[in-house]
Amino acid sequence: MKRLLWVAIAMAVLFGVCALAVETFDDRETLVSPPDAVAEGFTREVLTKRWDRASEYLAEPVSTERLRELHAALGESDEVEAEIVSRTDEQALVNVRLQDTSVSYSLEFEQEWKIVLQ
Amino acid sequence: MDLGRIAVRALVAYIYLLVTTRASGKRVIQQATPFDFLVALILGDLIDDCIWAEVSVAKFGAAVTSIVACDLVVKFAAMHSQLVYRIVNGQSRVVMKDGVEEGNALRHEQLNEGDLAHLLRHHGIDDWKQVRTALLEEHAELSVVRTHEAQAATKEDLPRVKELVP
Repeated sequence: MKRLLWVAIAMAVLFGVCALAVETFDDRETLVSPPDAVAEGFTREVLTKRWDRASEYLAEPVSTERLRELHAALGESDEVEAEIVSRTDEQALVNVRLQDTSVSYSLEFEQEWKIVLQ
Repeated sequence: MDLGRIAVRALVAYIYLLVTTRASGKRVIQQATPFDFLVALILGDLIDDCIWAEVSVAKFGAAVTSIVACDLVVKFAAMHSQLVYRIVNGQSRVVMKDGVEEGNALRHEQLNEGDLAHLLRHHGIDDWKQVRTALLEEHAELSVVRTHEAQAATKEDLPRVKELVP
């Protein structure tokens, strides 16, 4: 079981490196998912109606009804491409282009980028 | 996406996988069971999400650690219990005895005669009568014990040779 201890130590070191990168070196895009990847991931989850997984991307929980509304607004699309419009260390604005429409999300950083749904 | 960031994530993921797989033991590919292969596939899939930043490096680390830790616990249990070992790795099965294939064993391992012939040819055996026992091991490798006549001569055969050669 000594090996298990080594694996646990390796994980602790990795978590330490990630925390150091975020807290000390203000990493917002390398060891954490960048805001465009988060917005893209969220949009894909909404498009495929995986509400629980979509909720994990949100800063504040919203009702499934709200996510259904968003799904209806987005329509059907195979193309999802996100682009960062602006970004500071704490906030970001991302535009996501779909087949027929586009949507903008505000994100805020709390250990990782989270989407703030209005 | 910034190439430098992709490179950093790939490097961190690579080092982390290297450290955790090294920590999990010295098993080599040849010893790998089908389940080891499955674990390798899962880890290979996880690194993809990390490199393309679909998940954070910390989440990647948590997932890899969970899989490797589970694998370690199962291997530890298998090391100490024959029952767990058989459940996890299966067991070696005699697929040929005295030159005759064991039909039930072959069916159980989903092999046909052609597959068996192929595996035997890897051992340089074309004539099945040369086989005393053939076992399909846990890691899907065929072990063959040849009949005495089919084995290469050793020092122990010297008296017999002397008898035959005046």
